[in-house]
Amino acid sequence: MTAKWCLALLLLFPLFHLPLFAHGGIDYKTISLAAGCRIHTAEGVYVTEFTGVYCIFLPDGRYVSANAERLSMFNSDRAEVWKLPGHYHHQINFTFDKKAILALSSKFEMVNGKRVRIDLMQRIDLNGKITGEVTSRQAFDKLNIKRVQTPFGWDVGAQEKADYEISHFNSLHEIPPLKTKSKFPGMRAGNYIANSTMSGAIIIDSEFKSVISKIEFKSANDQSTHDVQVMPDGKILFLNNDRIRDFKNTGPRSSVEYLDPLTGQSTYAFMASPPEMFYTPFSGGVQQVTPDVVFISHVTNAFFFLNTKTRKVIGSGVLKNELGVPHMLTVQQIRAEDLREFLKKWQ
Amino acid sequence: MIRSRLRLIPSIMISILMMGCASTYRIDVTKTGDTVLENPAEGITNLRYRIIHVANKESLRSMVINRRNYRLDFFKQSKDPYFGTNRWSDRCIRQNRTEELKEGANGISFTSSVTADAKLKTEICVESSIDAFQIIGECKQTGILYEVTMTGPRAPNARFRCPDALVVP
Repeated sequence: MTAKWCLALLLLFPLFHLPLFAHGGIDYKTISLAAGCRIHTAEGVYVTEFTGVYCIFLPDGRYVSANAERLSMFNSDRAEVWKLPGHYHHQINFTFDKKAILALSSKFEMVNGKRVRIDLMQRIDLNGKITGEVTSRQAFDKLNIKRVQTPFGWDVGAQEKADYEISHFNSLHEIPPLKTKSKFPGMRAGNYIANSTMSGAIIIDSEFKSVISKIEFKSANDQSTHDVQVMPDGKILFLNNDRIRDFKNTGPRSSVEYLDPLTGQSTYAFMASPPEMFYTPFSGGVQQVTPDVVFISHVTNAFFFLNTKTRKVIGSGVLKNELGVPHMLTVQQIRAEDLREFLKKWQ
Repeated sequence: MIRSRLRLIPSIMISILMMGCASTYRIDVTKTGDTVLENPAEGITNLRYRIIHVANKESLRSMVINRRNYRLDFFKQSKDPYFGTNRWSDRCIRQNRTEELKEGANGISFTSSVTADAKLKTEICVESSIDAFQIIGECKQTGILYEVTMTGPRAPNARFRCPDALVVP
């Protein structure tokens, strides 16, 4: 009996010591997980951090840092190369060529005696020059989007206060080259897709001056969605924070979906089993890391890699802080990326 | 005239006495990368230094200023945008203090009390972090930037003397 147990333990032992991610065609040793300005290993172990709340990194050691007061470029010599004052929120991204920054900012205006927050989508070159701007007011007027006005109290770091906000944009991405031409208005490479909860996504032209079309998320309660991106096949990958339930007496659940913008239907949806096991009521993110694998992050700093072909979770974890315990800071979304060159410059 | 010179004698003597007590550790300014040492001088338990050669004098000066600004920004207390929790503990804020820039004959420098890991890497603050002392500055004549981090009872009084001396009073 003892020998059998020993044999069983010996056989099981390697399982417990396998790297966290043993499948998926991804070299996890090259991947870092960036939660804003905090960097972790692919297993979620804290590595280092940089100033700011939202950060994106360049291989030459520069990084863009944003928070509720400003958006700045730093170099590896710790110099703040330039700064744009303003309220920046939710996420910043690079364009695919990494020659421009896509940022979500705010404008504060008086409307009928009330102070109102309006979203300001910006494209900024790497020298800090704003090369395009679109406001949510401009977009909503043109596309005839009506949104419920909601209080603005969600960013405690914001210097400027407002009675309410007319929009709540939370993601802005460039549209990649598409494998086949899409019939959906504006769905082509070089345009941009921006998303707002309670009002859906909009497509911004390549000049970053006007809006072309809107996309609704019918499978999401209140269009509560995050990290909306276009895939090379023209489908839209997004995190559905509050998926509409199709039967009674069950709890809320989130899902990850690919939406066909022409039909308005999701062609694939991932939910946990039971569905309530994956529920990120706000924030969260999704990223296509290989054609078969998406990386999903939860507001509580939990993350997992999902193989969309096999529909299996191939790796999961939770980001830890410097003490090795789960972070108590929120994360809008985590990004899985190769930051080796960047980090070398900061050694 | 003689009286005024006589008045100087005590202070000169004190200076001589202090110099007599001070120990000097020579930093190898030809080394690149970080150098970590144990007990390099009396009262200095651990020492980590990095020397960066910079030909352009203006760049050298701004590099020192950038390091100070970055440190101030790094340990500026901030709140989580959604939950409102403080980024840094009281201890982190208290211990990571950066002094004003000082202008000397050899250029500018500043001192900081810092938290560091076991290898004296700074810009980190956790429960296990150790308290350390850091000097960052320039030697204009030789075109070097020095970053010296140290622990030990005499670390807070240590000074860098260009071109290559860590003087520990």
